[in-house]
Parts: sequence; C-alpha cells; structure tokens
Amino acid sequence: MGLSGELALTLLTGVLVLIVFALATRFDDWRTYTPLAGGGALGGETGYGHDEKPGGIVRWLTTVDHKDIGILYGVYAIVAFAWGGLAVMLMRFELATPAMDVLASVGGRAFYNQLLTSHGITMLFLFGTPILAAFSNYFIPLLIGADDMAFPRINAIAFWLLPPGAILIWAGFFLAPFFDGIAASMTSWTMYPPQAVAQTAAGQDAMSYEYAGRVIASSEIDTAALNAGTDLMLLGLHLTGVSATMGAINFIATIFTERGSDVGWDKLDIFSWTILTQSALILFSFPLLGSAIVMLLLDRNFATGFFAVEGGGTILYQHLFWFFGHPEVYILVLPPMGIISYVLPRFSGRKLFGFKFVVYSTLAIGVLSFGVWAHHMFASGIDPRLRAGFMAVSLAIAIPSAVKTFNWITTMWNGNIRLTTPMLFCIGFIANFIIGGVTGVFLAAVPVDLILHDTYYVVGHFHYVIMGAIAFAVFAGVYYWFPIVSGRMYQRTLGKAHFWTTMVGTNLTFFAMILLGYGGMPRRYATYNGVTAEGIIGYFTNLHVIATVGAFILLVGQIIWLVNMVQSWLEGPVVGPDPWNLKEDGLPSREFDWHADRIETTLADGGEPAEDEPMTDGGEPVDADDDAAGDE
Amino acid sequence: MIAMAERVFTKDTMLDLLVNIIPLGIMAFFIGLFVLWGPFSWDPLYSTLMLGIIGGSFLLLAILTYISAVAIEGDAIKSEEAGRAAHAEDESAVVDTAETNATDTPDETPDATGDDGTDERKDSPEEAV
Amino acid sequence: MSKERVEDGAASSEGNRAVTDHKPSASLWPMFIAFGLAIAEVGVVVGVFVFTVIGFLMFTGAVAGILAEAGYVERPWVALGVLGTVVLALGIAVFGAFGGVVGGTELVAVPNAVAYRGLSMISAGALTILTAGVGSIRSELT
Ligand code: HEM
Ligand SMILES: [Cu+2]
Repeated sequence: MGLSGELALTLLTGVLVLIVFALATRFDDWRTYTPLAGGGALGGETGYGHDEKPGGIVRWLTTVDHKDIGILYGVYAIVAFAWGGLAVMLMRFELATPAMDVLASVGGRAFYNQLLTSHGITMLFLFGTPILAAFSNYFIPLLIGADDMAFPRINAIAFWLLPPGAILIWAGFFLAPFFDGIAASMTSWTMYPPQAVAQTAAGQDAMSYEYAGRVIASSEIDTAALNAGTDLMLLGLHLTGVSATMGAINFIATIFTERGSDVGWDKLDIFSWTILTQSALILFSFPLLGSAIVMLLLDRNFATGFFAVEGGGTILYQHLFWFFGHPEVYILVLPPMGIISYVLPRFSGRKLFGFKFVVYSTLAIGVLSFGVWAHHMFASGIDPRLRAGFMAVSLAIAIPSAVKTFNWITTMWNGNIRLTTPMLFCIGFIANFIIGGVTGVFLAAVPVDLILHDTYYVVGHFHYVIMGAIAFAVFAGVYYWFPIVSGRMYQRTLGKAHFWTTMVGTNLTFFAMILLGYGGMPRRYATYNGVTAEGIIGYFTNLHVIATVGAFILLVGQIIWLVNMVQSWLEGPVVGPDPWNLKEDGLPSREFDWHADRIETTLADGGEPAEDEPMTDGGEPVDADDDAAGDE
Repeated sequence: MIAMAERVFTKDTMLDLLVNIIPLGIMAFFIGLFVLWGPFSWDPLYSTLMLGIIGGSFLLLAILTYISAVAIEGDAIKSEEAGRAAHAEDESAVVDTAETNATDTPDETPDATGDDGTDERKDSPEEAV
Repeated sequence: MSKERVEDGAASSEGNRAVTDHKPSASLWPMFIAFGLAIAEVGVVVGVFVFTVIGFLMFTGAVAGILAEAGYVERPWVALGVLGTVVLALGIAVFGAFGGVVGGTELVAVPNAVAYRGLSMISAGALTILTAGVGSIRSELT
C-alpha cells in the first residue's frame, strides 16, 4: 500500500474515532458521575450515597469504582486462566507418549513450544498478577477504611491496559493462519536471547541461512524473517508491566494516605501489609523487565546490540531478567500468604499466632528477594564467588517463609477448626507450600542445582508453589469473600469437590514431575523418544502419564469450580450479614462489617429483604447509622 | 526520635523482631565464613561483589526492620495512650479490628458452629468429597 | 487524608459545584487512554502508519479529557494542543535523525523504516493539533 493509500485510510479511521468520541461524550452527561452526588452535599441525610453509575455495559466500560474494577480484574484473570490451562492440557496430552503424535498435525514441536511460551506468560502475567489485583482492588479500601483508591481513574487505566496486553501476547496464535511469517512466539517465558532476538516464525534462527544445503552462520539478523509474533508478545508484556506499575503506585499511595483515622500501622491487617510489600516489589522490579523488553525490541527491530555477543551478551539479559524475575515470584506469593494469614485464623477460632512475626517476615522477604536473583543462573558459568554470595542470601530468605508456615500451623494447633471450603484450601496451601519451599531451598544450594537445573525437578518446584500454593490461596479467597462480592453463597458440595480434585490433581501432577527431575528428564521438550539410556524411557513414560492424569483431574476440578461460581452467582441463596459466624468467634473483620452495613442500608432503602437465611447465621444486626457506605 | 526508639525497642519488640534477626545472623555467618575460610581465592571484583550482595542485603534488611518496628510499635504506643486517655468511653478508641493481639487465644472456646452451614467437624472430612 | 481535588467544574458550562470529598464513580477516559497507548505502541514498533496515527490521536485526546475531568486543566483543547506538539516534535526528531528529507523531487523522502515511523508520528501530531484547533474554535463559538 502506498503512502497516499495509507494516508487516506488513516484519515478515514481518524474521523471514525472522532465520531465515536463525540457520540460517547454526548451520550451522557459525564459530570453526573463525578464525585458530586454524595450524601454530604445533600445536607447530611443518611449516607447511602446515590452516586449513580451508567447502566448496562457502559457501566463496566467506564467504572472507576474500586469494587467494580476488582470484579473486572477477576473476570479477566479467569479468562486468562482458562487460556493458559487449555494450552497446558494440549501439552500434557502430547507428553503422555514419548513420540510426537497428538500435536503432530497442528505444527508439532514448534506448536508445543508456542503453547509452552503462552502458558507460562499467561499464567504469570495475565492470571497471577491480575487475580491478586482483583482481591486487592476490591478489599484493600474496605479493609483500611478508605472511600476508594487514592487515584480511581489511574486504577481504571491500569486495568484497561490489560485486555490489549493479552490480545497482543496471544496475537501470534490469531494471526498465524493469515500470515506466513507470523507465528506465536516460541521464546519460553524467560525470553532469553539469542532466541528472543533472532527467531523466525518456523522456530529457525534468523541469523543463519542455508546455502547449497549447508547452514551458514551470519553476524547479521535477517530482520524480515523475524517472527512478528514475538514483537507483539513483547509489546503486550510491556503493557501489562506498565499496568502493574500503575497499580502498585496506586496501592502504595492508598495504603499510606487513605487509611481511616483508627487504622494505625499497628492496626493494619495482614493482607494490606502483603499488598504494600508486593507493590514495593513491583515498583522496583517491573521497570527492569520493561527495560529488558525494550532492549530486546531494539535489538530485533533497530539493529542495536545490547544482547549480542559483542554487546552485553546473553548473561546481561539474564541478570536484568532475573533481577525482575525472582522478585516477581514473591510478588505472586506474598498476597496469597496474606490471604492465608487472614482467612485461616477465622476458621481456627482464634487470632493469628504471632501476627507481628508474619508482618516482619513479609517485609524481610520483600527486601531479601532482591538479593537472590542469580540463583537462577548458577549453571550459566558465572563466577563461583558470585554463586556463593547468592546462595547465602537464598538460604537466608528461606527463614521468613518457614516462620510463616510455623505460624499458620500453630494457629490451627488446638484451635476450633471448621473445615469450610476456604479453610480446606488454606490447609492445602500449607501442605503444598512446604513441598514447594523445601524443593526451592534444595535448588538454592549450588551443588544440588547444578544437577537438577533445567530438569522437571525445577518445574515441579515452582508448580508446587504457584499452583499448589498461590492458586490454592486464590481459591480460598474466592470462596471466603464470595458472599460479599456476590451477596450469595456458593454450593458447598461443589466447593468440596473442587478442593479434593484440585488437591489430588496437583499432587499427582507435580510430584510426578519432581520424580521425573530426579530421573534427569529435561524440561521444555515436546518429545522424549530420543532418550537412549537403558530402561529410563519406561520410567519417564509412566511418570508423564501420571502427570497427565493429574492434569486432567485438575481440569475437571476447575470446570466444577466455574460451574459453581456462575450458578451460585446467579441463583445461590442470599446471605445474611455474617455468613461465617465471625462475631460468635470474636473475630470480626472490617470487610464483613461493611457487608453487614450494606445489607442494612439496602433494607432501609426498601430493597428486598434477604430471603430466609440459609446459613447458620450468628451475626447480630449491626447499628444502622454508624457509617455512610457512600461509595456504592 | 531517640526517646521514641527507646520506648519502641523493648524486650517484647525484640522478640517479635527475632524473625528478621535470624536471617541477619545467617548472612553475617556467611560473610564471616567466606572471609575467614573462603573456598575461593580473592578476586578484587568478584569477591567484592560476593560480599557486597550479602552485606547489602544485610544492611537493607536491618534498615527496613528498624523503620518498620518504629512505625508499628510507635503507632501501637500512640493508640494505647489514646485509649488510656479516653478510658471512659474507651470502646471506640481502641477497638481491635485486626488480629494484632498476636498470640492470645479467646478465653472461651467458641461453640462448634456449622461452617458453611453444615455441621461437619474436622473429624469427618470424608463427608466432603 | 487528602482526597482527589475537584476544585470546580471549570470546563463545564453549568458552573461550579461544591468541593466534595467523594470519589468519582465513572469516567469515560481510562479505557481510551489504555487502548490508545496500546495501539500507538504497536503502530510505532511494528511500523503501521494507521495504528500510529489513530493510537496517538486516541491517547492524547483521552489524556486531555481526563485532565479536564479531574480538574487539573481548565481547557482540554489547549492540553490536547500541547500533547500534539510533543508528538509532533518527537516525530520530527526521529524523522530528521534517520535521514528523512523534505523538499526535492519527491517532496517527502522516507529513506528507511525508522524515518517512516517518524513520519507517522509527525502526521499523528499534526492531526492532533488540527483537532485541538478546530475544537477550541468550536467551543469558543458556543
Ligand atoms: C515462594 C514462592 C516461590 C515461587 C513462586 C518460586 C518460583 C520459581 C520459578 C517460577 C522458578 C523457575 C524459573 C524458571 O523458569 O527457570 C523457580 C526456580 C528456582 N527457585 Fe523458586 N520459587 C519460590 C520459592 C523459592 C524458594 C523459597 C527458594 C529457595 C530459597 C527457591 C529457589 C529456586 C531456585 C534456586 C530456582 C532455580 C532452579 C533452576 O533453574 O535450576 N524458590 N522458582
Ligand atoms: Cu528465584
């Protein structure tokens, strides 16, 4: 298309955009939704403020209310979870047999590598971080007694950066059928150069070419042959990084400046502490990821040489990436630890044992996580003195995690345990986290890591933490707060079924991986029929089959969960003010007080009374007028 | 500030801080170990980096622990004083919404309430499946 | 506990409203800011003229809108003009630095892919300024 053709097209689309803008601004008087309609301005009537929101879909596209945004984050994360989960199911089916068969007709190894990359990036950046943001957006303002986030509009911007981010990250899959030179990226989630700099859509190396049947290495990248799918993925990743950073700034500002007057640092709840620490980690680490990504993009498209051999080389990239990458794993695990510390005591009938231990150890993890990054590079040939330094700090960081585990167990000790679904997930978290953490400490020892690096042992380690612990805490949180967010109760039997399938599936899948790692099965391979060592193929195959069966059980469990959530959201029994009987145990919490208030005010407003209450409901009616829940 | 620090770092606080003092000890131990019995020869760049990584982490952790202890215990002292001042209608001033009272157990064991409404207890988890 | 400042509805014709401590509950702009940024980024990096122009237009427009809505600027069209100038300047810098030439037989010579990206940013900036101009004239008339 010539320049003039492009100009014409651009003008046309430009006019279209302007028309959309004009229509949208005219559509409604947007000023009504800006902060003017609160109870206070109307002369102090009871404060269930009638801030109207626009109706229908427009409400969700324009909301800046932290609760709505929390729900948006949640829905978004669940979609990503489904995408990442389906990708890995295909991979698991392929791995059930040593040879390439299931995926053979849809692209073979290259397709496997695309799935692998998409699974990793999706789960970490599009599911993990956003689902935690769902909790923090909804509950932090409620927990600290704030009206909303410090910057509600920035909050909305941070969310809306994510959908384009996801589309770009997945774009390779969508575009591949239409363009020959584009495929989904095959760089794996770590995006190491030179692959990330010079990979073609077929998975070949754009720095070499074939001549007379031989592959000739070249020092220049054939830019035209590069896989644009990788560029798009890097851009999408960059957007999600910007989004996470904006969110982090907002949380730090909110927790520092918007706490209610009765919430001093000594009264701050444990979940807010973990979110505060997480936000600090994001603030210091995501810019590193952003820079590394920009350098990759420049190396790819503008012929710079940051990560070329003559430049910083791939070791420079690894340092940059893991300086972000290790904090990232704690970014993912700290808020789940906060959820566990928050929910577990409420079903143990007593307060958290050693609350301050947990707070200080959270902060310790936050700081130390910046001093361990090179434990991911032990096998890369860096100086042994460096390895020793990083090993020392990695061993030190294990203590704060162990302290928390000790506190959770002690909280349950002799407690009055109620095995509700959220509590089951809390206990499952602890069990899995112990395995995940201990395998991590083993890997942190240089001699052990040199043997196990790049085997399935590592995969088993981090999945025990990410699936076995982080996802479990997310489920604990989802079940625990479901009554507040939806106003209804989920189906208990399905919840229990979800827990047990998930627990069994997780341990089948990932324990098999730990054994695979001991056997020496390398990670990131689509096939293993090339293995020649005597007898080992049978061992590998059996364990892979077990892992695949486990993954299938996991899939069934998550479908049960989804059905439960949707069905209960629509027609579950309406809950009363204190669905968990927290008052009776003397463990009240701010967000459920808020929930009770909301029910109270809705009733006073002539809303439907709660149908007969399905729960054993020990909650007292709350004094009606103590708070203007003016932000609903 | 000094006076505040004195009131903050009581024996109880130090006990709470033990969780961070242990990692500090581990790092100090490794620094000592590598300096005295280092298995590798001295290299101006890498040995400095090695000790810098451990020492830097040590310092940052020590500083953050100090700052957070002052913030948390300082606020605790303040709200305690506020509570004493308002002892008449104390309820509102020192309501303890959080689980900050660390280790103590509620003195009366609460009734066995059904959890999500059902009546199962920890001894019958199989019912759940 | 400082809340967001909404000093007065300066950009609104209905006059001022009281300063309140309440948070907004809806805004049109955040989504457009995010989408605009994403589209512009793709446009510049992958080198797609249409995306660059549309993306920057959407991004700058929404930023100007949100600034006015939050009461940080009084006249959104002026803000838009400033943002457009920034984009224009960036574009000119890139275009010039990578050997783009104006004049001569071709009128506008785009010697390479980078200068091409500069040219798209110039177009985006110019179009933005144009929009800002038209907008402020119209709002003065009414
Ligand atoms: C607490 C939550 C944790 C999470 C979410 C987590 C996550 C991960 C992930 C994702 C990887 C693989 C990176 C890759 O793709 O190569 C990994 C590797 C590793 N983890 Fe963890 N981890 C956690 C805890 C720990 C702990 C407590 C330690 C030790 C103190 C540890 C030590 C290691 C080491 C040494 C490796 C590198 C193994 C290798 O590649 O050879 N991890 N972890
Ligand atoms: Cu790590």
